[in-house]
Amino acid sequence: MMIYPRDDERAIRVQGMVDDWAKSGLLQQEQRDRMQADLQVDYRRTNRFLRATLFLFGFLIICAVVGLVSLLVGDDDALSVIAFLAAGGAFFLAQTLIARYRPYRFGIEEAAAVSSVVFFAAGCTVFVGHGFSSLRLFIALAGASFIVFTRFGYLYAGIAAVLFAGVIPLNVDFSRVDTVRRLVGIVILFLIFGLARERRKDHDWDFPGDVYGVLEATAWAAMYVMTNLKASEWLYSTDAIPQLYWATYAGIWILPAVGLFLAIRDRHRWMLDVNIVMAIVTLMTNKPYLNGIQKPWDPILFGVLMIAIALGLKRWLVSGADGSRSGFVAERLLASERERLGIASSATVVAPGAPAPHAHPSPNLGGGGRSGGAGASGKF
Amino acid sequence: MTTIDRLDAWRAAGVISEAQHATLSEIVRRDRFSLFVELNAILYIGVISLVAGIGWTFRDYVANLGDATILAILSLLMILSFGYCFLRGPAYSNNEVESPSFAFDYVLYFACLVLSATLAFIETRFEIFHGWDTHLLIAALVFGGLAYRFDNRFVLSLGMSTLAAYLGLKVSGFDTLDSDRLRIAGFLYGAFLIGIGVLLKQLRIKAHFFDVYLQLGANAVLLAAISGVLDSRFELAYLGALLLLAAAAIYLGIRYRRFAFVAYGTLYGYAGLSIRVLDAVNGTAAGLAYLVITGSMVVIALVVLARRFGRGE
Repeated sequence: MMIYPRDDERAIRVQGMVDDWAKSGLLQQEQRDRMQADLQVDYRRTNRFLRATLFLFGFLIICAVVGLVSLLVGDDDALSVIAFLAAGGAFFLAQTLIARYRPYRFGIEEAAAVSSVVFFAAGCTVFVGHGFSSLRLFIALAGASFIVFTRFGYLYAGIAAVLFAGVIPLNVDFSRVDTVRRLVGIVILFLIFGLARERRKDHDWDFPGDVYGVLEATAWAAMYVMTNLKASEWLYSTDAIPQLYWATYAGIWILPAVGLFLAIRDRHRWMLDVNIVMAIVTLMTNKPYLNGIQKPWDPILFGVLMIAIALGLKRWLVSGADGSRSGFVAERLLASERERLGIASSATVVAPGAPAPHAHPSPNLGGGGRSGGAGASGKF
Repeated sequence: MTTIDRLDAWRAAGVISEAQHATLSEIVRRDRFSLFVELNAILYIGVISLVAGIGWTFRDYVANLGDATILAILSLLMILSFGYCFLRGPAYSNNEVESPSFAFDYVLYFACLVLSATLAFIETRFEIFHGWDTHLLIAALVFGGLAYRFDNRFVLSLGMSTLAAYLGLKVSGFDTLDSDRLRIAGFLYGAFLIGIGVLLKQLRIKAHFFDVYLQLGANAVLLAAISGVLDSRFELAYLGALLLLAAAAIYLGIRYRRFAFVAYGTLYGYAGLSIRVLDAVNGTAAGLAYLVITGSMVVIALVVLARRFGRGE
């Protein structure tokens, strides 16, 4: 059971939406203020920069305290007990902080929760049984991350739980054939995908449906990574079993195709983005799969294809009635979409990438008047 | 209570109009679904891939194609893309200017990358510039000019990173090069960016670019200072400079409610100070105790700050 009430979580998300609508010119400032007043929740919150800094320092302090205790105890045999006590203590600390001071994504309570995962995994990995075990490590990480996710609702803990669960079979010594391990991993991820999908559908796009939507896309993407032998050679060594090799080749084409179909049908943003990336990776790994030789002009063809798809799709969408096709539009609807591109462009200072496009004017959707345009009309 | 329930309640209470309710409900239900980000991302990948392919092809087939052919193709691509931008681009303004079309910014970026590739080809084949410095400086200046002409923040970032490359300031260089000269260049680069950003903001010339200057400039000076603390004969001088810069970043960050700089100042300052202290401290226990005590002090200060300012940014 999550520590934050569902209505509070939903109210917090709607707060973000209302701000986005106001920035996008769909609400006036007075309307925004009135709506925000209805959405007040009694939590301490902070901005993302202070949150990240508090998280880092919180994690540093907790690790240092545990290290100090270990040194003072000075008994190697007691390390396992200390690790498990630290895990329990950190989990309890996160709970206590939230219950007493009511922080919400404040950084410090997140550091305590994440520390509990780390200490629990360390305890299971090294100190239980005989020596180091990567199998115990990933089971512990997956289990503890899942508990933290279900209790505190941290999305990154849920994502970590999915990914760690997927790699558990790669550490099991039940078969001499590596592909079997991959297949078991894919089955586990497919089960997670199905469960997350069902849970998401139960709640539509309201919390926790939005969170399960991300987990659904994560499991789907992880399945693809396990399937694409050329894109995941770093993950595990592969066998030379022809039938399985060609089955995975079929898989890397089928998964993005099915994923895109599901994403478009469900209007599932995360699935859509993940499957676009998967389709691009499939195109990039197609030649290596077929043992073809990469030619210097391959990127030109690929680039031209991408440009043609983008421009063609844009033109097709715009040429539809009311500039849309079954509700899909090429224009920006919300200011947050500009911010998403802005985040991507920020990284390009270090590693030059794409041009940060200008903000295109938000279409008139028949909503309320513009609210002074705070950030609504600019570029990102 | 779902989002749609809330919208219904706000409509019933007269907070939003019927038209607004319909519009917002469409967005919440995803009956209206924007592909703006996805289309931009696909176009971006296409442009990057296209330019990479052109560079790869010309590199591998330079002997077959010949210098003149390659230069002619590159020139044609530049003329077409820059020509498109100058013919279709909006008039210059000191304020923000909307892009005239979906693909416009990508055509400009493609043109900039082709220009860079052309300069690199000329330097590689003919050594006209007698070194990469001049090539990079020309590219940086052109990118900067084009960024202002067409109001493109990304081309501005490209110009800044090219300028940094000109100064020998690739981020990874700090790990491999032990050079106080490089650090001084880092300070100058950061100070130049911050200075020109402040100046242009005061002159109201593309004031919306200010954040780009500030972010990169602040990180450049702080990175230069902390690299000196890590590995320099003048570590104490660098430490002093780092602490002053960190204090300035925190103070100004709080004053102008730009909490990214509070985070930068805290992290860089604490890391620099701790490196020197932990180096001097004897024993693991004392080091851990230092981290617990000082870390707690930082957390308390940040919590006070966070409580005072809430989520404001």
